[in-house]
Amino acid sequence: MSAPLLSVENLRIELATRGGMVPVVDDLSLWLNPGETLSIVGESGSGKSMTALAVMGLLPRIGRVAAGRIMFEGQDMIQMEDAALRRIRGNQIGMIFQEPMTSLNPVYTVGEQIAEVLRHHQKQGAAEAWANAVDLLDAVRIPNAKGRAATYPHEMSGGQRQRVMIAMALACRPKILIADEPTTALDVTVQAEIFDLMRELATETQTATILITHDMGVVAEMADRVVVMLKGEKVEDGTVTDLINRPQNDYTKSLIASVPHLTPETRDESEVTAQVDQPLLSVRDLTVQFAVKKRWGKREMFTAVNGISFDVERGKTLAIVGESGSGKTTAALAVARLVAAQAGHVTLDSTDMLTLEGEALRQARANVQVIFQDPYSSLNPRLRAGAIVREPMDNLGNLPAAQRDARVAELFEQVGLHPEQMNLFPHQFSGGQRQRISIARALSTNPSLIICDEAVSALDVIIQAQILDLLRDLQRDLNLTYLFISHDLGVVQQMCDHVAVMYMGDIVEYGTRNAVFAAPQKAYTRNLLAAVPSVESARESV
Amino acid sequence: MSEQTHLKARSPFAEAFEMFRRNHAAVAGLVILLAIIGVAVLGPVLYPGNPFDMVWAPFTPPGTEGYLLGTDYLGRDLLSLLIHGARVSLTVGLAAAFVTVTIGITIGALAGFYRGWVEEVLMRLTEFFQVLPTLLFSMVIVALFGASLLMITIAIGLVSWPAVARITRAEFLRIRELEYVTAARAGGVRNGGLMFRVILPNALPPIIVQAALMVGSAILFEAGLSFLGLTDPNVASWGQIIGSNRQYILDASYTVTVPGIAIFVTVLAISLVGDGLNDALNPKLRER
Amino acid sequence: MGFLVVLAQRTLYGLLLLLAVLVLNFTMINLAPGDVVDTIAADMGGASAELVAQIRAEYGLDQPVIVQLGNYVWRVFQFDLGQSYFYNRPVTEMIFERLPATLLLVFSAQIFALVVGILLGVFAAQRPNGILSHIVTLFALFGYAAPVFWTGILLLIAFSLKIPLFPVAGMRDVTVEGFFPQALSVAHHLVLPMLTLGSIFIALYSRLCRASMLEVLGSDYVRTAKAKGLSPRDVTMKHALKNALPPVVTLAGLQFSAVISGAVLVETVFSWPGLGQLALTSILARDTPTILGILFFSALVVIVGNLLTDLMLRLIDPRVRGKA
Repeated sequence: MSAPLLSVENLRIELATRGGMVPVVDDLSLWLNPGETLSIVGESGSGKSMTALAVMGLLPRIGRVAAGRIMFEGQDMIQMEDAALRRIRGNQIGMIFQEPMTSLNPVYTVGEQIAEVLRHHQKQGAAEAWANAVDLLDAVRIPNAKGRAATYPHEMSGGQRQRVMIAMALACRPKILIADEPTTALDVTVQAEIFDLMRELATETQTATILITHDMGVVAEMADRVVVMLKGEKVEDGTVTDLINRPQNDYTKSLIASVPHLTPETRDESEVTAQVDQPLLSVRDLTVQFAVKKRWGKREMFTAVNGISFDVERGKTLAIVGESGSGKTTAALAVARLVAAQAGHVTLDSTDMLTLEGEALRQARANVQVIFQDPYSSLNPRLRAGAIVREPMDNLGNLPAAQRDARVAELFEQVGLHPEQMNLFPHQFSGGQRQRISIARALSTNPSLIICDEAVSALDVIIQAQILDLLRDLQRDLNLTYLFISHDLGVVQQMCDHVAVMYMGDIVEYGTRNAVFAAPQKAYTRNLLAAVPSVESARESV
Repeated sequence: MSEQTHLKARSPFAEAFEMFRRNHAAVAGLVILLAIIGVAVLGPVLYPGNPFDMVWAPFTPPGTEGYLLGTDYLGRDLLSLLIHGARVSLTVGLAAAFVTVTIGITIGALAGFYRGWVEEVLMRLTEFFQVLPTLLFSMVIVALFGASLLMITIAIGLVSWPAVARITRAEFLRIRELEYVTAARAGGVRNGGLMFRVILPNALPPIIVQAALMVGSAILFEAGLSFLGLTDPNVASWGQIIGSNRQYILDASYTVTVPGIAIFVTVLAISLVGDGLNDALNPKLRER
Repeated sequence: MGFLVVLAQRTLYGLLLLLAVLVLNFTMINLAPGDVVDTIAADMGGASAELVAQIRAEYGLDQPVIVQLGNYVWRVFQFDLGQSYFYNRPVTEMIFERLPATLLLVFSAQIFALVVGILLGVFAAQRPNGILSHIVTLFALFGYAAPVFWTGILLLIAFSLKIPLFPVAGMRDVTVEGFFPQALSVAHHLVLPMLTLGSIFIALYSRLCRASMLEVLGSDYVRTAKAKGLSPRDVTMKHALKNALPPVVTLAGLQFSAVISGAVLVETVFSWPGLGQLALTSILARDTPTILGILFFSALVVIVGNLLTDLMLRLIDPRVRGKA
């Protein structure tokens, strides 16, 4: 085997905090061979991104490399002069980042941003660089590359922007491409396309890739070797096949276990029937439109939800699944009257929700509560946790004031928090704990329907599993009914009894869980399922 | 974050106070400001007499026995003028800032919360007021309706509120989209409650900072008006001392420099406090 | 959206704002206790009832308020702002005499403050804890806290009286002849007023520019620019600065009314023959048509200033271009 292209030796990175220098990466060693794909996998805070930034010499101002070497072509990049390092960056080593929406400069055209790299490193003239930039855009499969080169980033979708980033990173045919969670902000079908592109280009240009991700499924599909990181340290490494099939470390095992395998083991669905006479929630022809302001003040309507119908049985879970912009969240919020619907009928517990007005509507809110996505913005930072859970009881329902605090304490225990934590403020809780507060708040008025709007999407996989367990336990104990909104098919598969797949405002497929996952009828659903990365590709056939 | 270990509640305001306390410049500003307020409140008691009385020969230089800061062109005691002037400056400054913030929050909150035609009308109104040159407009108000302190206060408030309204609206627009506001609505909170109990407390930090700066601007504003002679001629005011002694800067520059320093120090102290509040209340900085 | 369309839209909106200014001014003057006739009568040491009625008729003050307003608006759109009660000259004539001086002062102070403020802000942001950064912070505090008329007087004492580098008052040396010598003389007279007026706004802009640069330097796209291997200068001047500018330009646009206000004070200190001085004398003389005229024209200057900043923002930020 040839010598490694890049090797990281005993790397230690520290960040300056109020409490002094804190290590975020410690004693990390790894190497990258020419042409291979190495994956660094771990959850948020594992130090995987910091490692990548250290290789590029791009650590934030508060960070520094405290020990170790980063060897590239016989030179230690940490000791290197800034000017020498700049000749490597963007030239020998290219990098793409997690947020395509913010990683491109908004005030320059995409063509200019790619051409700039070529002018800078390869001293190409303006016309030559521009022509090459157009070719690169074509290579990353931007349609009409010649025309699109002159557009600005805000005129492109997230997936297209990430393609531009790839074109920029590969412009000088670097030896190494570092991709830091390149698809985390993208829809799953777009992710699959980006990965196809990366694979193809890397093979074509013989570029070695460091792929940073939190998803073992992505590792299994993309990487040759893998390094697992936890809290700044390497816990395990090896070839992907070895690691997936024979993980040694418990943490690695739990990461592998968290990857959904959508080939369904058929679950007993005897209780799940196709139609019920009296569903708890019945939605018919629900339509939601938004006014989009156009030039000359004329208003144009955008249809977010296009006349959809579905039912939810009492004590069961219906998942609405779809990619961003499919209208799934809008539909759910319209059911709760938190977004105005233009047409249709929503019957909840034999109440016609859409015709309620004023005080009657306010009182009806007690019957449908929402658990939101972002644990950091769904709790009022000025209120104590207890007051947050108590707020709906103060406004709705008929529990006497004297009993409300006792009820809050009871709810805290139910969701796995300590009643003494009632006095704390939201910023004193972790993300998972905040989501538990959200759940307690949703339970406080004993609603017959709970809407979970991407309730676990912002959480790391292990915390995610705990919250999903909690939701399932509560459903069993309290006979709750969930309308479960998610983009994550793995999560949906674990949670739901029925599934509705939404695409651009319409329900394209609707049925029981087994029916949809095992035998999808529509091409869109099949694509969606196929796009989810799984560890199966790396499994050895037994 | 450690799990379940610390159970001591730390409110966001308590943390902000802690941050403020550690900011030496801001604490220094606060101390100076309190001292000036003390002088304004107690001064006339400690240093009685009418500051407009001619007490000694004109242009007596500072340091003369009994007249620490000397006398002006009419032989009036400069120290006495300054002490009485502190009252006017601070009262007008605080009252005008209060008027500014009241109008600004009301208009900004209504525009940001209700959107639609309410927002359209109110923002056009705000833009209209921003087109009028502030000092000229308040000069006209004062000239037409009389140069009483009340009128000066109202004039300053009337021309200064658009900045507060813009900030309030921007904060309301941002916060109303956050999930906890939707959660509160789902929890049965009425519109009034959403506006004043849920959104407003969270919108306050930048408004408080702006309000602090408004006190400073109002003091500068009042000084400018009285420098031009558009003030109540029967009350002593810092700007007025500078304005009336302006012709004599060659003979007695201290009659201009000293009251200027008074204004400068007061406004500086206020902006130090404002900066301290900004750092303390800005959550972005806290996370670093 | 086409550039000309936007320009037309903005101009139309500006005209509506101007109309509103006229209505407001007129309403205010009518709400105020006493009117010009009382002033004139008082000047004459009392006048008979017939004479008062005669003066009223002469100024059209005996007609219904709404007719007076209509007349006023109509006349303004014919560039007739009436006759000054005090100077007994057409108001437009007096304003056009003095407008260039004010425009020169306002725009030179704005541009000077913008250029210096942005440069200071950019350099201070390079090292957020460096010496220059602290100086900018200090300067911003001082520039904001010092009353502008006081700064003016101090500069006057220092650089005209103690060290006679610059003239004490006025806008030009009347004894100088020829275009270039005159322009030079005006520039010489302009230095201190411009520095004085600019100082407040340098403080404001440098501070915001520093904050804006710091935020932009921490953004993802600046990290991308660094990852491309660009030099620190290219990263700062090409990628960061252009993104940091919009808030500063927006602020500068909002400051036009404050710059004009400051100009009133600065003109008074340096006897600069602009609108501010005229405003003060006509306010003290209760010269209603002149006051109305000055307010109208200064609002016009603000509106034009806003229009210019708007167009500048469009040049800088492509995301604004798409919007009406």
